[in-house]
Amino acid sequence: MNVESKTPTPHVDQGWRDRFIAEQRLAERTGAQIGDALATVDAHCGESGESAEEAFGDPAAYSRSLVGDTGEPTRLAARTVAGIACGLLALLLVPRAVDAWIEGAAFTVTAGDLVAAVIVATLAAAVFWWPTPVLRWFVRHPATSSAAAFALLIVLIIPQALLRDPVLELGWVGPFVAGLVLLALSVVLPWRDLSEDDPVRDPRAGGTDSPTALGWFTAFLFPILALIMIGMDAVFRTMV
Amino acid sequence: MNAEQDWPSEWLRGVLSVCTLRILCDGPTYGYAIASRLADAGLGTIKGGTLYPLLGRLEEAGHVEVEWRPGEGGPGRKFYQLTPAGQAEAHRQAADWAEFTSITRALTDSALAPEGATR
Repeated sequence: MNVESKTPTPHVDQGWRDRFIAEQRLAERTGAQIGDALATVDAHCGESGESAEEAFGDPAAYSRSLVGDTGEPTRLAARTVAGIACGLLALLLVPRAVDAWIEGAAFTVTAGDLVAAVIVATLAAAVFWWPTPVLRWFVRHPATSSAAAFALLIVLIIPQALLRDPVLELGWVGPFVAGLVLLALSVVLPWRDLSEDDPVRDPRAGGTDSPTALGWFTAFLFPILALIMIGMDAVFRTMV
Repeated sequence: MNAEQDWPSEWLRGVLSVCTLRILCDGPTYGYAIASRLADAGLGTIKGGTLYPLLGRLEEAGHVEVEWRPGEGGPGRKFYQLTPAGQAEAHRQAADWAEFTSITRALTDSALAPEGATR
């Protein structure tokens, strides 16, 4: 077994590495440039016995020291933003479609649903226009960003809870299938964007980095959140 | 003062380029070896976060060229080698530094005299 292919930079802490890659991506460095810089860090740490944090400091600051401050705002690809919007809309549809299925009730679209959809569209537009500070914050505060994702869900639930006037009634199948399609799109659209572009390449191995655990989690964030919401619904149902 | 002390970071920033170019005059070498030679020379520990951005700037300026070479039982090392333009730059910076330090020493050496002797 080739250990190098599984751990391309064994002397670099995974968290440092993930943050460095994210910062380099935000600076629009190519996969080859990022891989070269990471291999350099890894080789130095292997020789010196220092951690990447000790020898190179904060990964974001080190990234900026390599590329300088271009001052150019980074724009997310439209399909990535569309994937995020699809994921949020799927979270509005799937858990409630499952709930309607189990309860044998209709899937009712309320005024609160429409308000939540407008919030989703507004957030997607904000992420599209100001992606750099948003993404940098997510990368630097992974634990807080997970909490923020749940906070966002609560923000979406509040108008749904308060504005219950029905606007439209449907069977559960249509919203459920639409939600699954949106969930699939939430994975596929950003994934294509990430995988097709420019993978990180280690100049020593000549190979390509496999996606990191954080990358996998990010790619499947919305399906994971949908399962959590369905699970929470099930728990509440057994408690009531 | 002694070779083990931590020099002011602004001094090190000023002198790092000329010292690194001087080390590269001895032939191709890799980052950690450069850091070790700088430390052995008495400049203290130069962190990778300081050294590699400088090497990157030298590469961008065309003063060094880089090559990954297989390591001896390790994953490989990135070697830096002076280009002809880098050789000229190393000599120019060394000459400038010599003149600069002559000027500053002419000014500051008198401070080494016993107090009151400088007036």
